[in-house]
Amino acid sequence: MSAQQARFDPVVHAPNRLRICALLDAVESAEFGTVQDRLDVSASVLSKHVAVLMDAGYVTQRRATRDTRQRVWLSLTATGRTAYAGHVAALRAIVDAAP
Amino acid sequence: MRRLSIMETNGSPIGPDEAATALRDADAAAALAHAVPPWWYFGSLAALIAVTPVVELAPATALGITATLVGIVCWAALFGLVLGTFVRRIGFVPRLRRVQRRHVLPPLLVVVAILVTGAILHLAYDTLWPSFAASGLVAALVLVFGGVVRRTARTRA
Repeated sequence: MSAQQARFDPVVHAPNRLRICALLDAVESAEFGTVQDRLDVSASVLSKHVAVLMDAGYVTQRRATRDTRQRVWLSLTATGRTAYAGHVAALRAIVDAAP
Repeated sequence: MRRLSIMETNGSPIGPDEAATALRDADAAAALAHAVPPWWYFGSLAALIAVTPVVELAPATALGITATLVGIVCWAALFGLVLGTFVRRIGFVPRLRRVQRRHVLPPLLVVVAILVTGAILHLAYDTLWPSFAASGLVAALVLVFGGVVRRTARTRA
């Protein structure tokens, strides 16, 4: 990641949203229930934070029907990956700059 | 990576302790994006690889060519089914860009070397057994690789 991308992002920084972005950044896409299980959060909490990330253009969701059950797959957009990478770089810079 | 200037970091709304905690949380969350691949996944891939030389058994007739094409379509459908089922079971699509080239290239070169050797022997001796032996060996390597991947994933979990 280049240094110029280091940028603190308040949308990403909220603890649950940071974890959602970190998990989604590690994969191409993840099923809603899997994200919920892995992060150990309720569906309503996850929905709320995903909505914020979607409003910011950081996350997209895709609905897929399988065996009559509809599943939602989440993925970070290119903008979301850039924002997350920039935010992590900013966090590292803050830690490194500490005396 | 370039460090932010003092002016830039002074403008951040959080201190170094909170930043360090956030980084730890992010690393921990990213580490959750892994799964132990099921045994049937590697078994299915190995079986699909092992049967590939069967395509050469078809006679060079219209019926044989049709059977070959149908076989290839069925093979591709089964391959897609295995991958699709794997992705649905683990709940995420792995990000292949994160796989390091040094982890992929050596096994890939070994597989290519085996298949090329099989093809050369097949042409030299005009018999099918080298092709079956090569694909069988690659299938066995897939099973071994699967065992290693499963053990590594279990250790990480």
